[in-house]
Amino acid sequence: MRDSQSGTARDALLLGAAKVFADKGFFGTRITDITKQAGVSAGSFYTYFESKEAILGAVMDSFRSGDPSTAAIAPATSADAAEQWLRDALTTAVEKFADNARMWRAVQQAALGTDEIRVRVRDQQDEVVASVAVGLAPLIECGLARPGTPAEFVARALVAMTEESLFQWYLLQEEPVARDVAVDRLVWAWLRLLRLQPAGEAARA
Amino acid sequence: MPDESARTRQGLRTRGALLRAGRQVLEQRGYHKTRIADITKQASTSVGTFYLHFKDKDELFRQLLIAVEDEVYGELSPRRTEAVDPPQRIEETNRLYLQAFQRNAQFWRVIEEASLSDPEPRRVLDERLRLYRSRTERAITRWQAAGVVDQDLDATLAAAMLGSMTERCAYHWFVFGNAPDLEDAARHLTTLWLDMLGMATTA
Repeated sequence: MRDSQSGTARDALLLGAAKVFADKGFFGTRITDITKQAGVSAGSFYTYFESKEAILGAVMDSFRSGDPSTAAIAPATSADAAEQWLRDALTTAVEKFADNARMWRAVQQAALGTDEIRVRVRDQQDEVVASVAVGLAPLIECGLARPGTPAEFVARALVAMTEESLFQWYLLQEEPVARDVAVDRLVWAWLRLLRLQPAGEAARA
Repeated sequence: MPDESARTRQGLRTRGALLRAGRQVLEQRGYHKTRIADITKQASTSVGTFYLHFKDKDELFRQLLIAVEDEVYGELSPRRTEAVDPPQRIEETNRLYLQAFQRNAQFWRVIEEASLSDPEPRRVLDERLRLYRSRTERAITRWQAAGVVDQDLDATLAAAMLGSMTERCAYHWFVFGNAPDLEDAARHLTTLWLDMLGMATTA
């Protein structure tokens, strides 16, 4: 089971599943769609995964292992540096979402329709919120950001606002929003909710 | 096509029982995993009877959707709110929205699940979203005219971002679990609304 041959089949199944889930949604996908896409025999699926939920979970993990956001701690040096940091982080978020929007939809579908994936997605949401709170902490400690609500609360609100906006811009709207416009809007909103004055407005105030 | 028997008093009772059972089963099993046989079993009636009242699962779902959706957004209809100052009005609206969402969270999950694959529930949700957004936008424009919100603020963008924030927070809290204290949540959300509108520091 651990030789390179089976590794290849497992990888092929993961790749195939990612494509089929994105195309057909979670509930529209049958296991034979995945094995067909992966070019492996229908029976071999169960050698690697016990269910459709299990392979979706593995696909979710494979997406996260390529996630570069682990080093995202804001620099507590100046408002300009903080804004640039936010812009970079949100650019990454917009690109990642826009590139994987249909996969995201399949995951949300599964999260709403099955308990197993719902728990997994909730844990992921909580992790993202916690990491945003950690990333922003230096800005709050040094007084560059002075949010009017507890750090954990504002982090949740920022994550929620970003997620829903991206959902609307890249899945619901017929014309997706240009990526630089999306980043501008998000940066603007994050700065306001964090009470972190944009460099341009600092002089005016 | 409902025949005569669906219109009698007994028929109406059965229809009501099917709607209640449908809601229970959908909330338990989710939209995609619910079958008509599950609903009729729960309602102690037959599959044949189901089809006297509803064309299919989708039609029953649509009836429930309209009722629940009216409740959640109906809570937000403007009352004698013109006299109330903006922060109070915002907090009141946020509280009512969270309460209505929490009451129907299980069914809301079913609606969202269906709307990710089916155009009809998506259309209903989108329509409501536009209505709600434009109402927020009009309120912001009024406050701008009254001089309590900066004229330069992009009211359309602010309304969209605030709506997204509030709706998705409710979704994280009530659909996925870990709901905070509702009063705290409404108060904190309102602070963030005021931040976005640039009203927080004037107090």
